[in-house]
Amino acid sequence: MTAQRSLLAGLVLLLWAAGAARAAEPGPRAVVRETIDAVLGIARSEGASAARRDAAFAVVKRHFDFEAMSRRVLATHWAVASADARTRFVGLFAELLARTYWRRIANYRGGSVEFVAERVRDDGYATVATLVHTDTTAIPVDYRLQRTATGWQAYDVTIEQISLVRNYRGSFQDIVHKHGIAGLLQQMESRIAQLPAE
Amino acid sequence: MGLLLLAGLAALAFLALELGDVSPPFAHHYELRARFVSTSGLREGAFVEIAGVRVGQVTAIDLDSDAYEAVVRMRLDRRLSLPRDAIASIRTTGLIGEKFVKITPGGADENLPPGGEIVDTESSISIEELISKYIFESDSR
Repeated sequence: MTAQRSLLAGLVLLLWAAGAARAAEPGPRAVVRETIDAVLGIARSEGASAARRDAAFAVVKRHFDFEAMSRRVLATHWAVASADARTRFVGLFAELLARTYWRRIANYRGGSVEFVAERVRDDGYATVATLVHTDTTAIPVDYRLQRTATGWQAYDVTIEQISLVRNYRGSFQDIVHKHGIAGLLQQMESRIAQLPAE
Repeated sequence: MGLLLLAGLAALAFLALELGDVSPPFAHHYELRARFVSTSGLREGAFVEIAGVRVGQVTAIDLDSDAYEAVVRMRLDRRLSLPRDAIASIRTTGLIGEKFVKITPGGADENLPPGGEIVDTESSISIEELISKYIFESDSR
């Protein structure tokens, strides 16, 4: 009887532990939803634009793996880039994205973001499909995630079936071919300087 | 009579190999798969290119009836190895030309094994549909 009872207790404990482990690691859909909700919440809050931008960026950084993104964007040039050039690229690329998209996010007054589908593959990749509703139209936006030691991390976004990573991979490739990685970093810096900081 | 038939068959085989897209089974190729939301307009035999260079062709396009996704099989030159984070995109030659698969290599250390799957893909986009959507559905302000 006691043996049975302790067995039952053990089983309950085991199930509880499994549940806790699952709760500790949110799925791809939960990760994307949490990030979008937090960013939109910040975008719609009151306060200085620069401060809100930094707060939103901090949230995005938690679930977007900018290093994985940068490696994919630099593609074949990543392997030959120095450690210093890689670090600089990751920083500049994140800043470039933040400046390019913050204004659009801050100005987004649409209805809602609808979660359409979640596809999780056996090999640790996942796609979360969403529809961003504006006043007049719906834009399909898909997030691509990879399972890492720190949970699910996004590494690409496709809008209307056009991949952000593939887009920058193409345009940066051209710049690196003509001006080298140093030239690319320089162009990114001047582009960032042209974009409004808030 | 038999000799003539043999010569005819040999000529036919030669023509098939030279002109057609038939390749002998002992050729040095390997297969990769890729999943797309839509492959509209892509046909079997369409070419696969990297940096504008033809490196293989599409051998089969099937529907995964569970996910309603298209599974494209491609045959590539065995000497070519692709990083795991390569992206396969369905593109059109010119504005209204034929569809083909364009591969852009990534920067991962690992390569895709023969029979492996390219995870990241871009489906075919219809320029006409996109234009019409943003003409009719987005506000003009």
